[in-house]
Amino acid sequence: MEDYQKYIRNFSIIAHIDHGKSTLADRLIENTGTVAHRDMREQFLDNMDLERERGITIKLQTTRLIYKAKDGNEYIVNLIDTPGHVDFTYEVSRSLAACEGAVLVVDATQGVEAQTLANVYLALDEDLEIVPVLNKMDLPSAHPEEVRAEIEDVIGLDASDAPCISAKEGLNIDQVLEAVVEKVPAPAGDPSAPLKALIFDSYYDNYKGVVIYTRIFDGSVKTGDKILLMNTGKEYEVTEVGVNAPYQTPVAELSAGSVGYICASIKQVRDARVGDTITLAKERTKEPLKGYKKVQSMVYCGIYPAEGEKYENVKDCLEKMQVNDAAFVFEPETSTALGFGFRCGFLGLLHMEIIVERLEREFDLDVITTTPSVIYKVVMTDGTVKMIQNPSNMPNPTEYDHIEEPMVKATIMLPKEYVGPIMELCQDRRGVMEHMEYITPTRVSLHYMLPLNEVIYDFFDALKSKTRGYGSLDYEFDHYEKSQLVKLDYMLNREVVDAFSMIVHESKAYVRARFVCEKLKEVIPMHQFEVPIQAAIGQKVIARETVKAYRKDVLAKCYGGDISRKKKLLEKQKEGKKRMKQFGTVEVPQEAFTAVLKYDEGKK
Amino acid sequence: MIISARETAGRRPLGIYVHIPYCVRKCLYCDFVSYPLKNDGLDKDRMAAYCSDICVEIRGKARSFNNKYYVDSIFFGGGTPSIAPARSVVSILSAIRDCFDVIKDVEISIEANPGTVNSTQLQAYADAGVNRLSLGVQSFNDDILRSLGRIHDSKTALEAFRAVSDIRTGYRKAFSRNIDLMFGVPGQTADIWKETLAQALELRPEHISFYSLQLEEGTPLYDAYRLGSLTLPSWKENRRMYHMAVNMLKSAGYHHYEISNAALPGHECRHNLKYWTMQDYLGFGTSAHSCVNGKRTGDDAPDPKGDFVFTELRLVDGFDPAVYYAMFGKRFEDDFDPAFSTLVNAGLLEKRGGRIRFTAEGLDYTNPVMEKLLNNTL
Repeated sequence: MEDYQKYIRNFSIIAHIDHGKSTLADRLIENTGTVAHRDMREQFLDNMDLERERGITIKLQTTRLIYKAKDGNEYIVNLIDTPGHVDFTYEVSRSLAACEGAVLVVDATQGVEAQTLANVYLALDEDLEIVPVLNKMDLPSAHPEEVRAEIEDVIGLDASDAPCISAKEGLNIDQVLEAVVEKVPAPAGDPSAPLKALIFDSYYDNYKGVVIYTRIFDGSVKTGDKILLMNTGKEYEVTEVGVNAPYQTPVAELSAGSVGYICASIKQVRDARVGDTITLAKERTKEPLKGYKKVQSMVYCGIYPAEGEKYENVKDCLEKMQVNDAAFVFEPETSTALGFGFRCGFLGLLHMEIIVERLEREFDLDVITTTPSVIYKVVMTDGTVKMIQNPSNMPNPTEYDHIEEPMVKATIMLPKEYVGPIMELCQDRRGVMEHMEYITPTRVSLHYMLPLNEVIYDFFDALKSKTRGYGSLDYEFDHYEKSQLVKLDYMLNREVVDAFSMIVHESKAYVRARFVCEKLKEVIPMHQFEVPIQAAIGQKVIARETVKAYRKDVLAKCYGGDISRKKKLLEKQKEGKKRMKQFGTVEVPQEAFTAVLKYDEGKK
Repeated sequence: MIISARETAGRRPLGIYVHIPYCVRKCLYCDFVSYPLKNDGLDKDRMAAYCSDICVEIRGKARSFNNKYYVDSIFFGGGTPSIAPARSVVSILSAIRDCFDVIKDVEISIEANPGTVNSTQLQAYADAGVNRLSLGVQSFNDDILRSLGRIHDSKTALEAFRAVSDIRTGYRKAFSRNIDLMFGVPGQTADIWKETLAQALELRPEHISFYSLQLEEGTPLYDAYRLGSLTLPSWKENRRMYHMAVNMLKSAGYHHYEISNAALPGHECRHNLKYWTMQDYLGFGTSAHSCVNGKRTGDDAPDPKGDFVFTELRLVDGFDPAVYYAMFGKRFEDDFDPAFSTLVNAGLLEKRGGRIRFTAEGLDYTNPVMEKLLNNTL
């Protein structure tokens, strides 16, 4: 009976964005006949439309494949797909912890990238066997020998027998599975020990409640068992266990070495946190698994109902979103400019963009998002410390001693010809270079200490644009550091619009102020009166623009088609003004909020 | 079918609007639904196909209206209807006559731009029953015409006007003529405007429309002004031009009957008056609107009282509150106070001779006044 684990392999695929991870997963599913070819959708595992559109995996997925290997045996190969973005590093680390091995996909035309490295280190931390694979061999620009050498030099992995594949063309996919069976160790749990299982993902299902994706290390679990989640300390009764093949298929029990799902009438994703350990309530395992942490929001912004949208509606949708995303937090707040809304916390900027986009698409919400901010540590004159994540809550300069801002350790990998522009970019963003190394004669790795508030402000876009897409970035929080920060306020027709307020480094204040004023001038429509746009630090105005006046006191032309349209413009709170927000006497289109955040090379 | 006035008993008058959304090119201030010609050799076919679609639309819609209505006005607007093939216009008119009962003294207007008309075409219009021609002259000053992005110059405008005036049906002049003029245009001074007005009055058209230039979002003129590369006459100057026009027109014997319209007595545009008096009309073609029984197309939240105020007050003589009472069963004041009284006290609206209307000063602030009335705010 012990023997069954010999025929199980648990592995993840790790890769840089666009190196073909999801496509490879598709081919593996297709090749093992797990999903009939006619049912294949492009990138089967990327379920969300958003994921398919952006070409990135946000939510990880897992699938059980049955593979008949060359040795004549049938293997259960569990593929655990991982999210592909630096915002989700913790989730990646937990899904890696569920495996014994990882297939490292490297684009044979591009070589090793920062995120590849970051993920390899995560995998090595979990003691995984790494199986390198060279992808995109169908492209004429593939240079496998150089990339092989790069993998050996940079990562120190033997890549001499790495399969050369094309996930897109379905070339040599078998070799990947064969390598997995051959190289990745079989799980070696104790089926008779008390249950010890890892939650590596969970999501909310309307019918089943929270569905936990789990890897069983020791023991077994079946329907009716009382389970205990060791870190949250909560107990539940199991209503269903099963495997993804790839659709959810209930099974009698899940035992040591397996990967599958558990349902236990759990109401919220936050109650089944990624990284938590599942055991039986009656017969507990001694120690929970290592590596659990509660994810922390790094980036905050306000989300407000747009004109015509109901507060209750927004709240309702945020709650629904939270049920499914433990990393997303929110609480009510008010803004003088925008009224009642919510302060929302995210893992990073991408996470924020995704949530906002999903709110708009899936829930058809009309919301305004304010300038994103990081959490500042404000040390008051009396020595107490305040954590501020909303710029408008920043105390008066007279009340505090100093402000500290979060710093991140950033690794940027890029072809050497772009080193100059990127060093300039990092310097411009107040980065301090720690070191730089040549990975290969043509590729460089830059290590910087950067303020997070500079990274969340379009750093990624700038990096991509300055390296023609070849630069890659990985970062993690390091420490708080004292910094000369100021609060920039913006005034429209002399009234402060708190939703635009931002905290910036003193040295950047003028440039930012001018940029934002110019952007606002571009998007604010003409009014009956002149609209001054001003940026100020405290009482001191440091930039100013003016939107010209245009009087529309008389409607000169009004015939059949004009009547409804022109009348609506004069009626308050109706369709014609829907995309506008009224600040005092000034109307601001909602696009203004995003316009002030966009990186604009020409203006730099 | 053509019917006599006696045969209209028990039926209601109906206006028909036909939208021809094509232009030689788009003027710099225009935000109407119109498409420039592509000059790919297929423009004529495209326009002919569009017009035959309109005929189909007319035939489809007529049935439900014919018993209760008779047609007493038809208006071809655009775009530039005069660039469509004349036979297309003629066939649309036959479709209307085939499907609707059209009263004998029907008013049939067509808009035309100088530079897009010739005598043969005008004669074809006249023969098909068109009896009112509106010419988009805008100005008799070539610099002004250029700054508006018009395709013609003043000489072409005068030639077009003469051509229009020369067309006859039998022994009678074929067309009641309108000239569109524009003021408040970049580079325009009161003197230039005065000259244009004088030239227009010399021609003695039956009708003159005089519009203040409106900058509409999304138009090149709007953007140019916004970004500071264009200067408009000040608002004060704009109003001076407006009142200058009103005075000159009045002394020349014209009846100033709507904010931007004046006519020799008896030549007010019957079709356009329907828009300002909540009468029924049907629109055909792209973006054309209809209003039947006080309900407009695409209006999901009908507001007949608001529509009433918004349109009837555009007439210089305003409206009779008794009409309002007859329509809605409520006194106008009861629905629109306190905003109404406040506006009367402010000298912007007045109740005189049994009618409610704008004062001369109020005509300079129609939008803020309407805004207060529609929202009933102080």
